[in-house]
Amino acid sequence: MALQVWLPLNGTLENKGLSNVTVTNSGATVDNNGKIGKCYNFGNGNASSKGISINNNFVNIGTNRSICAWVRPKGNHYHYSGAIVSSGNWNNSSWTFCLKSDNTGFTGFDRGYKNYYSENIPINTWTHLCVTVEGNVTKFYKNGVYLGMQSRGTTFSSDAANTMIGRETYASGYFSFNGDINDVRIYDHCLSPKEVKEISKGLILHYKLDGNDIGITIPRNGGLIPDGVELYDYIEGNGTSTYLNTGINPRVKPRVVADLTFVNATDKDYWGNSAITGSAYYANFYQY
Amino acid sequence: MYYRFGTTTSINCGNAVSANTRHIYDVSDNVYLDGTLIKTTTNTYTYNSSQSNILIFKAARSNYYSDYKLHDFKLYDGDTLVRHLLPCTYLGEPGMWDTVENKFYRNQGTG
Repeated sequence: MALQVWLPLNGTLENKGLSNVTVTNSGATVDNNGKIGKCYNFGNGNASSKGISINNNFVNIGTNRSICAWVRPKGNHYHYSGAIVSSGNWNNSSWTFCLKSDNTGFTGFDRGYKNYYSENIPINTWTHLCVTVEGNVTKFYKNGVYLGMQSRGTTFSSDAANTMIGRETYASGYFSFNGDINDVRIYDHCLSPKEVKEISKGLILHYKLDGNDIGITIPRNGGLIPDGVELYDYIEGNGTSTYLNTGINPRVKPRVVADLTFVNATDKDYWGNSAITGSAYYANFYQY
Repeated sequence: MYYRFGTTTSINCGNAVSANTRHIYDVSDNVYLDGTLIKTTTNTYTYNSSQSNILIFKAARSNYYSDYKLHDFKLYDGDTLVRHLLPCTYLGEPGMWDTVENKFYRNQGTG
């Protein structure tokens, strides 16, 4: 499971998600007053066609999925809705993550504008919205708070082609989100309420769940310990399969200062020698 | 306590410590145990881009693991502190948090 598309949209179009997508700006402008630094603005309620496209097929994300973003609507949206993310042909096969045109509801992974969850989204205010799908259950979150659910079918279409941020993907007409968008994320799994809450705090940037990364950046937000991190007295290897990779091959000369408690004498060194019970314990600070 | 950096020979410090007692090892050319010099070596460390990163709880080229309790881990490159790892969970997942780079390091093995 992974965070497939992750566009912080904090002044750049960098995708930090797992999918190798091509992201192109089609008229959206950078605004300095984002939720996470800068953000992108998509229009002013007129018939704008500003948007950011994700043109490559990013992934077949399956039935279970989640999508979330920070939004700051500036007023009513032109035409049918304020599209945060829209994929496919709006009039045919498509899904969308959008606000109701008058900001009185939102929906996600929904064809067009059929199944809004009624909830007022304030204008000129940053609001975190998230929609998760697990099986036929679609759940709605606002600022990390679970609002409610809808029961729908599980067939989605157009996961990939013609995907836009901040604009409908209607083939012959484009209507942009009236306002600003930050930190768009598309997951290939259903986020838990706890995860949604953490993301909505705007402090934790999520991580790839592919198991290949050895370090996950967790920005501090003024405090010493980032939100989501809980310190403990120790961590203990299981002696058979667990280890950590420091990510460092020292250039000059390594020095390790370790505060540790040996547990037993069953460890072995590189050569497979058993520990010498009662005389030494093996810590295995090994580079070789 | 054994350690091996770069291509030097494994170093056995050999000092007996009791199980379930907490100690601070300071390991480089010399080895200090709880502030007392217990080993002096004349290692010459040469950087090699093909050699492993420094691992914790495991030797890089074998499947031998350790099971001590690690309370605090600092790694220097020369005089520069490059990692300061503290035991933690991140969203419920156990690992270590690096105060130098603000990174969470998770288990790279299984289990």
